[in-house]
Amino acid sequence: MKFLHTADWHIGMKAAHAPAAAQRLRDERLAAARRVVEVAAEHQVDFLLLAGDTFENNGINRTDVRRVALALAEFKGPVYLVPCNHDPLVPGSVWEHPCWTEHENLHVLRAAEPVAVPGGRLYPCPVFTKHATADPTAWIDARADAEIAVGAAHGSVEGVPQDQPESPIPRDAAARRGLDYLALGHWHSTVVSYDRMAYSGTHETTKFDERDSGNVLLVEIAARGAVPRITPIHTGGLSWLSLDEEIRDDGDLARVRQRIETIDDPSRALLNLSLRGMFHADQRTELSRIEEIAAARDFLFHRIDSTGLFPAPKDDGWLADLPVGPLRETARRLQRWSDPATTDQRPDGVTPQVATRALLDFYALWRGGQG
Amino acid sequence: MILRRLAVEGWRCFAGPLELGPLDERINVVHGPNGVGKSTLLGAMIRGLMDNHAARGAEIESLRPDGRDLAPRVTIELEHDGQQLRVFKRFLDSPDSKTSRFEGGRWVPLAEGRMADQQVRDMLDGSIPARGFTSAEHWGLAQVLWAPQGRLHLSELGSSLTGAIRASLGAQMTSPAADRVEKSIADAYSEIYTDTGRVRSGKNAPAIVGLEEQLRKAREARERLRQQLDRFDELSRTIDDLHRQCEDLQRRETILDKELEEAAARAQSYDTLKIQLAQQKEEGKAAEACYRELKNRIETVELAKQNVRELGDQLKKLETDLPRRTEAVERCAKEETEAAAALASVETRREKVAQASRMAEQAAQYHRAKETFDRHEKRLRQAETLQNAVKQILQERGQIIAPDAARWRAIQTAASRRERAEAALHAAMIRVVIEPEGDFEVEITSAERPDVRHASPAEPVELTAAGTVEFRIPGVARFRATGPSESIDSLRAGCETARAELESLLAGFPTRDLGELEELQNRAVDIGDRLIAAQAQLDGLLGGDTLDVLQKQHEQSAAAVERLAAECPDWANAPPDAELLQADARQARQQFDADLEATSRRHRACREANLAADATLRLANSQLDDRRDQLRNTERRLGELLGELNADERLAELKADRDNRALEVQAARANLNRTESALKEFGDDPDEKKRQIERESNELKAELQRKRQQLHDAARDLNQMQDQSPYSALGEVEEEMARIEQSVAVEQLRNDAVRLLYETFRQCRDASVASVVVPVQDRATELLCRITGVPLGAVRFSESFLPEHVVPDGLDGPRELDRLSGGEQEQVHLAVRLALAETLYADQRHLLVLDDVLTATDPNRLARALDLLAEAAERYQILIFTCHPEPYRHLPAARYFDLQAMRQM
Repeated sequence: MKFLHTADWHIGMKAAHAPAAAQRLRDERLAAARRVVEVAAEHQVDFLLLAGDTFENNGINRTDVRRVALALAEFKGPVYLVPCNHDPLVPGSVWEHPCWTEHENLHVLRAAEPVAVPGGRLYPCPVFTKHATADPTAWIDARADAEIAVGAAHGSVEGVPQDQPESPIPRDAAARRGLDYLALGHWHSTVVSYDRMAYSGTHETTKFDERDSGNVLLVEIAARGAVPRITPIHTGGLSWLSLDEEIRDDGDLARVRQRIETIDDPSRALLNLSLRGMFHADQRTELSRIEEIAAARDFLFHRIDSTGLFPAPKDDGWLADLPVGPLRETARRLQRWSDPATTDQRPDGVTPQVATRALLDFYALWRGGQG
Repeated sequence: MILRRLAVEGWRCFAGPLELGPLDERINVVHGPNGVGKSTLLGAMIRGLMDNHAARGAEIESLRPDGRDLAPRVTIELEHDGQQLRVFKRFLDSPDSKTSRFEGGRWVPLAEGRMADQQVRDMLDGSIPARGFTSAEHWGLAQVLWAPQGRLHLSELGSSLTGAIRASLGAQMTSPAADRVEKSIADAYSEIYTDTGRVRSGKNAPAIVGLEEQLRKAREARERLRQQLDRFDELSRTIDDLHRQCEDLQRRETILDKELEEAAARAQSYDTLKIQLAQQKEEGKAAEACYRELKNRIETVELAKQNVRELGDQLKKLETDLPRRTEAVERCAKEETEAAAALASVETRREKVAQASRMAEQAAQYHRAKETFDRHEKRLRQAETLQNAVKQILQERGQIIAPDAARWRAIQTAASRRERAEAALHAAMIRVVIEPEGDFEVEITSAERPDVRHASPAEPVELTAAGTVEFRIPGVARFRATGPSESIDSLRAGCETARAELESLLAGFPTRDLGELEELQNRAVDIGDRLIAAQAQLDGLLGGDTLDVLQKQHEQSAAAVERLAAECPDWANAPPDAELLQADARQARQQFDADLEATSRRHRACREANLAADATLRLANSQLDDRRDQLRNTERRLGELLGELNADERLAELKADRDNRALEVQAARANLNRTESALKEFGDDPDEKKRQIERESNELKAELQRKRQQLHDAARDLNQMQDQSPYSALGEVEEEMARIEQSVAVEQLRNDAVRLLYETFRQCRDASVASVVVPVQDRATELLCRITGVPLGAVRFSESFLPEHVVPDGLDGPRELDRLSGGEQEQVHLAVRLALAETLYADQRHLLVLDDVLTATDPNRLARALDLLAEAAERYQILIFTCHPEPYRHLPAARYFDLQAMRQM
């Protein structure tokens, strides 16, 4: 038996964390879905198994539902889809869409009962509610099966710390239920370290700092009882770059700028740059340059957060140029207030970020006049 | 600037020319009484230096001298920046303005017209209002130095002066770089905020306003879409629930249908049994009725047969008793006749008994009438006797004429009065009694009756007179007796009055002798008493009646006696014994009543017995007839019941038939019981149960229909909502919100930074100014202390450099200036003016003008203030206008101008 295990496509997912590129991100998830089908065809798998959360929500655009169905219909073999907690099998769900009956190779698994699949039997665990606290695999008993038995479930493998365990799955679920392989969904990262079961992760990374995602799993099982061979295949098309840079020296900002300048294919890259540390007033130009380059390179999305960047307390060289009196005192006060560690009492509502911005504005006004 | 000379002409009270000067460089005191023109001179100087010569209006017009058509003119010579300058201004008529400078021993023109006006104002940093005269705030630097009358208080400083003070206090504030930065900061701030610190709105609103509006709308849209998505989920749950409910209802419907089928079968069986039961009941009733009819018939026959027997017996007995009853009737009739005769015999005595009673009663009446007559007779006689006695007493009383009691008391009073009058008269008279021992003549010359009277031992002579009695006895002597010489006329008149009164009271009485009259009066009283007693006795006898009434009663009683006596003439001779008659009558009545009662009783008893015997006889005859009828009827009925067959045979047949019917009734009852038992086994009414199940089934079907309709509606709504893609729409709005929120955060940071920069800069600048103003405050405080002699408190300025309050030592809070005395207030303002002047004019001399100030300051403080002014004269030319020059006399090296004297010159 040879099949492609994928899950958590979350088609129609909103992207409030990258609002400027939200629609593009949704489109990319569909494009990645098509790539999954291509991978399946390329590896000539017996069937394609989607282990839950194909859609973000039952209330998504029906056009996207149909697009997914069309993409999956391109696959020559059977495709098995398991409704799970994001798209549970309830009235009005995406699974009521007629597209699922228009293509013979598409099989929405609507009941917790074994289904014959090429090379064996599939034990699906469809979900009928958004929130479940029971082990979805509890009903499976394939120990007496002679054929290869594969399960498909959506939930959290026990042992992973979480506030409110949803659909907890025992770490030995596959062995306990007599399965040769249990295809898991729910976690977006790819995890293959369990015994006879694995999370494929999402086929396209969903956000910054999402570890080891954008993959599908090629699963090959030689015979009943044989150890499955699991091969991750990358299907994601986007680069989610999260840079957290600490600025200490004069050259640090320039180094960050150079790195941004060398990022490949910025049209498929999402950049989240966080700058921390101290900087001198005269480095403001470099900061502006970084912002300018990020905008000019047309990243799919970019965000530069410099609110963690504060003027160096000892940066008083330019202050000496100010005339003694209110101007210099103003600059000194703003500089003190912009220091997060200051012991000075800031005015009500004034944060170090506000004081930093005010100081930079003041610097610009002063220098602008000088020029 | 210092003033050298001031000349006016045609200026209010100065119609002619007046020149003040040359003025001393230090102190000048212009004095004169009120109205001499001191303030007018100061006004002319200010108008000449500050106002446009071409100014028009009522204020300018008021500069003309009263009643004169003169153009006001003023010439001012002054020294400024080491130059001698002259300013000439003419107002109203051919207005003119000229400035000139003294150069090379002559005055060289500098400017004319408006240029000249402006040139002079520039020297003092002054300005002009849009119309009318300038006021203090336009005087520029002079605002501090010049204090016109009543305006020593600093209430407002012009912007140019404030700027000048600031400029003097903070040198860095005037640097171009600082100004530029401050302006840039202010511009950035004003792009976002209003003067009151609020974010601008309208077309000039900063970007954040539009963003927040977008955000607000996006939030509203998000809320709406969230509700839509919630509704989507809710509909999904609702449909799920409805599906389950429909399935449940369908299951229940199937069960109910089966129950209904069973109930219908049971109901049918039940109905069949009920019909069977009804039939059995009818059959049972018919059999029982037949049986009962036969039974009754047999009983009727047997009863009729028994009746025939009994009636025969009764008939026989009645016929036997009939002769005996007839005989009894006859006997009773005879006894009743005898009793009736006895009763009639007794009745014949009734009249006799009544007659005796009447006689007895009449006799009793006769005795009572006789007694009444006697009593009336006696009373009448007594009354007549008493009436005669009264008449006799009245006759006796009529013969005595005597006063009544009141008259008698009046007479006694008059007599007493007369006696007292006569006694008084007698006492007033001189009385001489001559009791001769022999005869002689007495010549009375003075007495009541002058006369010659003969006197002898038997005939003494008594002489009386009032006052003097004089007489002579010839040959013996002349005698004169004198007494009191009072008049006796009044006494005599009184005496006569008393006598006349007594006489009038005694008139008509038979005697004038009071004793007799008293006796008469006593007798009259005694007769009166007797009359009263007799009358009372008569009244008591009459008892309210009159004698006529008594007479009438007497006559009536006599008539009654006569009437009764007429009925029994014997009674006139021998009055009847009423009691004996009554006793006899009573005895006769009792005997009669007893006899009557006895005979009546017997008669009633006989009659009743006769009636009873008769009734018995009639009853027996009636019964006899009745029994005969009954017997005939019964025999006829018996014939009808039994027909013509042998009665006994027929009766036997009837009884056999009855027994058969009894068996039928029993069989019917057994069937009925069985059917009822079968019905009871059904328990509750199966029809009702069936109807109940039908109702439940109908309700359930209706509920199922409702649920299906709800399901249909919910599914339709859900489909519609699916088309709206609620999650996708919500996601897009939230993405838009995130984008706006990022922009808002950026803008907010920018705005907050601008505000912080602006406010921080302002605080620093104000703090800087405040720090340099402290020495000025300290200087004002020091000067004030020198004037007051004791510390009044530290003077504090407002942001616009006006004195705001003083802070006394030892007090917690500041004291507002208006809480100081009037003298203290003017001292504070003088100190502040001097301190500000030192700040502003540290490098050159200026003119300090004080017009009639310090008027409320006490002499000690005034002296100390003048010491200060003397010291100030080192830096300022001081020009003082006052109507009290004395306190200023000790100012060293001051020049005094007597304005009144100058005008007279």
